[in-house]
Amino acid sequence: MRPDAPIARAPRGLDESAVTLERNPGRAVAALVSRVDSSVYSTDVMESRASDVDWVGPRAVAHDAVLSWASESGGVVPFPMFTVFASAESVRAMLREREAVLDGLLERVAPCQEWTVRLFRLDDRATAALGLTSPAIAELAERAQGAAPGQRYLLERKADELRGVELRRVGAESAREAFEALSALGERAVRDALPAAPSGARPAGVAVLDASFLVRRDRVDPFRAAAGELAARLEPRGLRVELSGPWPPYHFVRDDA
Amino acid sequence: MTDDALELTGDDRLVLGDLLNHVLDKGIVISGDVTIAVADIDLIRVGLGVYITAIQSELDHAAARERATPDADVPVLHHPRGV
Repeated sequence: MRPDAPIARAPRGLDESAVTLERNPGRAVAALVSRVDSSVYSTDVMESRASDVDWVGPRAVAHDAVLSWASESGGVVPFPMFTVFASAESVRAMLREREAVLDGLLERVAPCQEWTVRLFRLDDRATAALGLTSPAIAELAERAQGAAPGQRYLLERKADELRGVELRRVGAESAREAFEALSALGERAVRDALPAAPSGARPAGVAVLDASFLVRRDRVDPFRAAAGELAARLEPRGLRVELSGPWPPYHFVRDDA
Repeated sequence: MTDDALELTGDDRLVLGDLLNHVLDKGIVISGDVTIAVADIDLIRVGLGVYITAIQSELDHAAARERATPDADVPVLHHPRGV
């Protein structure tokens, strides 16, 4: 943050600790800091508990609350959760060494918010939509209905195969369409890697896009309207749009973003 | 807060998963005398598939609830508190 940030109004940090600003006199950037017990936040403890949602959850909420406040109170360059320095002096040394980079990043992200859009393919609905829009699949399904059992099995398998190809195509095309439409309204945009598709029932759908956008505050309304239009356009194809934000610029403070 | 408000809804679990996806391995990475621990878990699956129990006792529920705004074209899953 900038050293003149209204730190007295910051929410509480990790474990309800006070959040302070660590700074070097006369410098352009300062660090938001919570003091923590080094035995509780040692590398070993953090790594062993990193997948324990009961432990991580409330800390993630506190971390995000402080950064969300900071993002709306002059701007912030987020560090990943669990970035722990050995001493206040090591924080100040990092600020001195990285001042030019941090200053440039702060300048870039301060006028913006991060918004995240995910796109899910709901296969039941997308398949139903394909039946209407893909003549080849509709024809195969019709032929299968009237065929003898052996022939029907083959035709149904062929229809399934074609349906899988078509579903993937619809997902990929919709993801590209969504990313391009929303990128036009953001300063920057990134696509995150998608998780491997889980086996079994997928009521939440298959994720086909996980993208974040750095959006200027004065363009947030058009961005949200565009997400709404996208949802209306893609829903009949069996896709669901999920929008979340505003976030601090978590995705946009690395050199490649 | 009513009793049933303590029960996490599907949306609350999604919101927590979304939050973890943002805070755990994003942000500027630096080196030096700094310890960085990043969860080696498939984070998006926390949001989409894992039934998270017992969070409600610790989690600031208000921060994690869905707060769709009336004028939103698409429901917004996350809204920071304190802003």
